[in-house]
Amino acid sequence: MKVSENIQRNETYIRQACRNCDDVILRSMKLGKNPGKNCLLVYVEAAAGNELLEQSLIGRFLNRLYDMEPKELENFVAENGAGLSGTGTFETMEDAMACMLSGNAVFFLDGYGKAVKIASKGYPGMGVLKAESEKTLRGSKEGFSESVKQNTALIRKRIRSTGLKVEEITLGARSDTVAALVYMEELIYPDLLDKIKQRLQAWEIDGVLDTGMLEQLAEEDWLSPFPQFESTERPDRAAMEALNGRIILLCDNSPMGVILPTTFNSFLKSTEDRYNRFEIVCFQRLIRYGAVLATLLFSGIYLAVINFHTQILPTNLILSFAEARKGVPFPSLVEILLMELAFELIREAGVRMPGPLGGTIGIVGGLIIGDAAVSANLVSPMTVVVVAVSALSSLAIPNEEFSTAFRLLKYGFILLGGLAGCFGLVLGIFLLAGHLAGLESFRIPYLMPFVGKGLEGFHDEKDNIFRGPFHLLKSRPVYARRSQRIRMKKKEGA
Amino acid sequence: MFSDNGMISSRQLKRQMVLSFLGVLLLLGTGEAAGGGGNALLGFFLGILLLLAYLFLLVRTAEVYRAPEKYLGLPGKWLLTGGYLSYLALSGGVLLEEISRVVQIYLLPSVPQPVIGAVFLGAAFLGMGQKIQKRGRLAEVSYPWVLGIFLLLLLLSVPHLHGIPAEGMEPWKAREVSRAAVQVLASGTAVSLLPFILGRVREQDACFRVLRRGIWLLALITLGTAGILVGVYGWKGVQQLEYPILNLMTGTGIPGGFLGRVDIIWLAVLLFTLLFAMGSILFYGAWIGAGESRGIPWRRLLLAAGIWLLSLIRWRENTAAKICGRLLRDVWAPALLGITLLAVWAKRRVEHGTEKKTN
Repeated sequence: MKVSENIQRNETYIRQACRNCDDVILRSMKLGKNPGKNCLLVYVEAAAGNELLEQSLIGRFLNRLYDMEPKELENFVAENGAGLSGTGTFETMEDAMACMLSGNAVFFLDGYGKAVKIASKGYPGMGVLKAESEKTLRGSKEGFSESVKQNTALIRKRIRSTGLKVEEITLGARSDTVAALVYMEELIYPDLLDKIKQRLQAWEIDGVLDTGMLEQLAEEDWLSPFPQFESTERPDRAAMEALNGRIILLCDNSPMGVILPTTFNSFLKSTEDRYNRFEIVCFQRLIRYGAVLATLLFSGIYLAVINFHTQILPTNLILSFAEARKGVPFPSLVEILLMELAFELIREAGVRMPGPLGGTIGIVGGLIIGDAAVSANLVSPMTVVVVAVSALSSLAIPNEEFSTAFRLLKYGFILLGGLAGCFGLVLGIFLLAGHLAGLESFRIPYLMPFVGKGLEGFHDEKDNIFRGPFHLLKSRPVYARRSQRIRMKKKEGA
Repeated sequence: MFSDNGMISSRQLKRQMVLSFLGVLLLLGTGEAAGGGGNALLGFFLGILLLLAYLFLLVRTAEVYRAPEKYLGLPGKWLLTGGYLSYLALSGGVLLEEISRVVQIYLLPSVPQPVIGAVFLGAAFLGMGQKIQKRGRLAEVSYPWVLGIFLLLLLLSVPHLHGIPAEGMEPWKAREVSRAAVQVLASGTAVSLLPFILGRVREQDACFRVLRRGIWLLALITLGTAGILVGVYGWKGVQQLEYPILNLMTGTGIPGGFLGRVDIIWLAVLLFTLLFAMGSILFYGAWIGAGESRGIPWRRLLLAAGIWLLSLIRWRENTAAKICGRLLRDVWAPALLGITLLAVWAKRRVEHGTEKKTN
């Protein structure tokens, strides 16, 4: 419906649309000298409260209108309204309502056929947060907030270039959530951007509340436990990846950004890998890859060895294991499964518990439950060690979603190792390797750069399992357009 | 962009080939080469040369395999498809029977062979899939690990060498050498599957070169391993062992006594390559005549079922490996060589016909 020049009609429309919405405030007023003109201000109370209006630009603007002649009011609003609001006017009630529901105030003037946006601070949010799940010793401690505007600004703060594009799209039929695609225009493949937009807009959904929902809707192989999008809560990571030719997807009300496309190797890189010296980074990367293998296979290998292939161990170790398992009533497979599930319970409880209690749960779980279980001969000490190593390894993987995939697959390997020994483990490894070999993220092989040598002019960026010295990191990864693969070169004469 | 074109690189082609053959050669080929004495080793080398010549013909006639109806007509296409599918079924049956026996003897004594075979086949079926790029990437990423671990473990077995003994070696006989050479050629006829996928290789000109390197690498590994076996067990000793390479690894250990034995690790890597080989058989079975088809893979399922059933064959104390193995060597291998010669003739005929029309 078009914005009517008759303010009563507009008010009737709004009251009808917002019936039972007690958080939507309609303020009718008369502005201008006697007799004055009828005006209407509509806003969500928490987003643009009374005190904000008094201090805001529009508050002063409204005060100005009080003293005007009614005939001058319309001209003044038409000429100055757009400039003051900063983003223009609306000709339809639907657009005006959408703007109001986005946290702004909307102003109607009797006799004027447009609605004027009054920008406000918007809905309450948490502001710039600290990055909690991606902690680093070196580098920025800033994390994304829950406002997409702030998040794009945090990236813009780090890449002060007009080449950094921010494309906003609205998703969710009822939630009207604003999502933003952030990328370096000259670095990305344009096809990739089109494909991402296509995937995001392929679904009609009533509400999008987090980037996690967008991830699950847009990923290709939804059966795979491996994420095909990389999430981050760090703006410095997002900026770094934008400079690598990747695209960052941000969503309003979500402190997590999504980086795409992605590969297996990128999940095992930490933000501070670029800030630290290459020797320590190489060591840390090896630890992380080892952690992946340990999370996945350690429990399964333990079961395979003690149940089927004890000959692989030195004799004194076999005797030590046998001694440790004396009196334990359960088969080793059940022992391992029980302890793994107990650890998952502790982990889940630790996440849900508020603040200080979360850490206490870890101590309670580790010391009391583990120690008590061993003392009661329910499990052997070796089982506790194996499960602890496996659990710690999963925590060493930088990306939590990625680590979850291995935590889940671990149970499959526990069953394979426990029931079929080495044969079962090999079958599991073959199936997993086959699955990863077939996985793609927006047509980029998931196992790159370990596969696909020569694809799209790919050459070694010297940042795979090992990272080369910083002055050798001259190439962008395969995500970047072919003509833009060089990111750094020494200045002539230097 | 990237993987939209359904192509593989020449590097992936070579690695696929090496991985497909490596496990089978190490498990079965090294024992035969070492057990046959000096004649077998020389015959092996000559057989490799024959195999390379065969490979050259295959690469040159690859278009015939990709479009058989165009070159051989409909009867020729059915002959080619039927011949290769039955070859794959028999090879798969032989391989599965050997694998099931090895796994039962060395890893899972209490599990019946048919169960082991079915599970193994299932994993190969699911893990390999039908997409050529998936297979190529799987080979590319696992190749360095497989080769690295194999070579490392072979290196660890070198301290057990007593030197290659002169006594016990059979006298040189041209007939034995030529028999061994033909045996190698017959065993290597699986390379005739390669032309079916050569059209999907990006660097077409490099195909023969990379495949030749792959064959030489396999030959070197096989001969090297055979030499180690002879050096450890002697000429006669090797002949008495069913799977000498597995016995070799049983006695090998890591310095420092960290692990008691490493044969399990060796077996694990060997099983991986054998899974790849079995997956390749299923892959080609569906690829021949159908390519990368979507939906339920009926052809692969039927082939897998046929392979499993063939692996269960027992007749007068002869296992599937012996029965089917003989058929493959005496019937199918010459038939596949014949098909290649037919392909050469067909290609020349079509090219000659095209030239005439142009003139």
